[in-house]
Amino acid sequence: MLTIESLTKRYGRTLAVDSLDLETRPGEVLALLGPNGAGKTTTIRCVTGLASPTSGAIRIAGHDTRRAPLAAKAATGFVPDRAWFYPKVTARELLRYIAGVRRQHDAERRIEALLERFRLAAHADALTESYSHGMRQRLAFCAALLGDPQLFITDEPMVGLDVQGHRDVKKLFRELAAAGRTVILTTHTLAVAEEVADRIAVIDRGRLIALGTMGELRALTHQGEAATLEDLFLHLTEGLGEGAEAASAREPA
Amino acid sequence: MTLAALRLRGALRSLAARPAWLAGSLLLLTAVTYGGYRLVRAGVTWIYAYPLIDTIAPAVTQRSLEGLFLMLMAAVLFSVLVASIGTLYGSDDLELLLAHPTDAARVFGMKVLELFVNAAGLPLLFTLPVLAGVGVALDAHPLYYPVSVLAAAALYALPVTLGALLALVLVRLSPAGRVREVATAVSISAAAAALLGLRALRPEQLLRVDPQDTAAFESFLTAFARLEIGWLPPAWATNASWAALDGRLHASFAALVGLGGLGLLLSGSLAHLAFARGWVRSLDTAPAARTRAARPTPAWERFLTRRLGAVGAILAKDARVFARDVQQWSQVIVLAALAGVYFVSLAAIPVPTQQFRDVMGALNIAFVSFIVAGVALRMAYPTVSYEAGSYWLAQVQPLRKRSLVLAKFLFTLPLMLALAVGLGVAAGRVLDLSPTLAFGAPLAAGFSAVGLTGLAVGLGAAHPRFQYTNPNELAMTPGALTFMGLALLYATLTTLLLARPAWTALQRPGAAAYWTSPEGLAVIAMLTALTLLATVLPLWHGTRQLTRFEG
Repeated sequence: MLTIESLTKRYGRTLAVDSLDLETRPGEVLALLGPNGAGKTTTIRCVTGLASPTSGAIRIAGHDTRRAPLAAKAATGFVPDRAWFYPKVTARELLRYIAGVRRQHDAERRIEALLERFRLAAHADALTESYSHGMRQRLAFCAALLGDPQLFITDEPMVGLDVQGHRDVKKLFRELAAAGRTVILTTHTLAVAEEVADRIAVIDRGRLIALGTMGELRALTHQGEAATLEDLFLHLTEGLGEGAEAASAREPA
Repeated sequence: MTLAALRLRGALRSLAARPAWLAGSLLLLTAVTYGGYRLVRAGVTWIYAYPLIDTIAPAVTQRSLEGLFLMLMAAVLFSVLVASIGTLYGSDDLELLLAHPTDAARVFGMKVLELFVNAAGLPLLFTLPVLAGVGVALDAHPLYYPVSVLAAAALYALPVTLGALLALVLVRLSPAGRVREVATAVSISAAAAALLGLRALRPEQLLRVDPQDTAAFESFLTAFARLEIGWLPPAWATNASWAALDGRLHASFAALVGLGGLGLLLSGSLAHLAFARGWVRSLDTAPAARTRAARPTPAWERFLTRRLGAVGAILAKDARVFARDVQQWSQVIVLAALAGVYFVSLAAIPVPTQQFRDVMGALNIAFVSFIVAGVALRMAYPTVSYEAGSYWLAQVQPLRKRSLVLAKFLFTLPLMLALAVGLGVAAGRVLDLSPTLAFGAPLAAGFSAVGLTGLAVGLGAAHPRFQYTNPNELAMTPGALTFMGLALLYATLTTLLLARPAWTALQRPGAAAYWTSPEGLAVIAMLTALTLLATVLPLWHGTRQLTRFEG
């Protein structure tokens, strides 16, 4: 579904992502983890078209993001960590605008279904300037799902959501995966990643240092069954330079 | 001071980030300033050497200085009223500043200073070469330079203080939930009214004089020298500067500085009481209304989206935002006021002969281009940047940047065309131009609207600024200044191209078929080529730059 080959991204002299290779499968939820400044958000920005890779290739549903950016974007839905919308349009108008841009001329039914699902139907005709952060975040989910994307990417999806929102989003991830879609999420809430992710990728200093299921990561770090993702994460990121360098050299599972 | 220093450091860093633009802008500014200084110095020397009026030369110079001060003070007042609510209450950094244990009055003071720099900065800069020219021509005492500059700064601070006080009051009185909208609309309407009010005084009555008729010119200058506006602050600034020429400090200087200080004190005291609460009040929006019934997509939106695809969807969204965002639609009020002033001015000009009317008509072609350039700076240049924090949404959609830029161009063009062609046609009727110019004026205006809209949208896309503390900043960015420079070049080239038909009209006023003659068609072809170049090239460049943009 998503193939990243030798992705490198530089901002001037700063190397944000360093020869990153990653491949995801249809129907899986992949959590992209890493400490602050590890290169998670930059990787996501390159995948979603918010930034251009310095070198390397990204393919989404078989479409190269450089050669066929529109087809790649059409197959992607993205929810940023802090979603801003035109303050003077309503949620319904915004979704119609996105449908228009995507040339989905008969999207009314889907718009209504998404507004209902994300508990925004009652506020669908209010200007987004009056929305709380959580409402904006739920609207971002509606906007990202409108095009029925094959690849669904979220950056810190739980920020601003209430308890019900947390549960809805986790359920959504499993539903999307069950429908054969790929979900990628970045988060610092490791419990969420452990709960919903099929595989976990850990990035540090722009490089992929580990990738696998919880069991594979435990084996990689020689931890027992009781080890939580937090234990594994700290072991991987603090131990960089010892076993982690070796882990990064391994082929992604 | 810490807050102001922080803003200053940020501004300097953003300037230093583009050294080539900075060097170009400084060079242009130096050239304009030096040119202005030489012109004023030569003018003052000439008027003092004029044989018939040597006794009234000082009075003529003083009145001219007063006129300049009055005009620029009015310009500052206009800018302040348009920008005050946006700067004082709409700036994004207020959330951060007022969340800290900082005195709200100090934050208000910094915002007033920002308003002063934005509204009075350029007028003050244009005043400096004038003051220097007068000083050097009249061999002024060294005291003259600091006193005259301080007097001018104090003078331009008065409308800034007035605008800030008005904003404080308006935000307190506007209905809750729509504070910013109502306050901005009232303030901008006041600006338009002030503009029309000043025009209603018809200052051109003073200029009904033939400079060739020596006796009439002398009597005009004598009458002009007697004009007294001593009760107005511009006269105080003039008196203060004039006295300082001989090294004296005039009471007017103290009065001006005192009034400025009093205004600051008053606004500071009121800010203590009202600014923070007013700002909190301005944040209130109408609560998210609960509505159940889904409204169907309006027919006009369906039509646009089905016919024009992504471009149509952007047009529909922009139309909604324009109609609902007071900062955007209120520009139309300003536009209408400017058009009104222009019509009144044209109608007031004495036009005794057809030839003179045609000369005015030819000049009008150049004027309309300059007006359209000024309007495009406010209406067309910022359209891409108006995407602001929501631009990410356009970036992640399967949307060509070409469609986005084209939509912005198509959205602004009708308004610009209506203004420009309207001015062209109206000028033809008001001045009763000969057929060649009656057709040429709206034709040239239409071309100007297309070319300058393309130039503005293209350069706006090439230099987008999606993060701004308030939209008024967008017209003062290096990209905007580049647009103004290129727009003036386009207007000059258009005027030069139309000089030939204008000359023909003056020589043979009866010739009706100029535009269908080979020469007329060649002029139209060249105008088309120039306009296409001015439209397509910047739009293409803007699209390219926007595609590379990583925000």
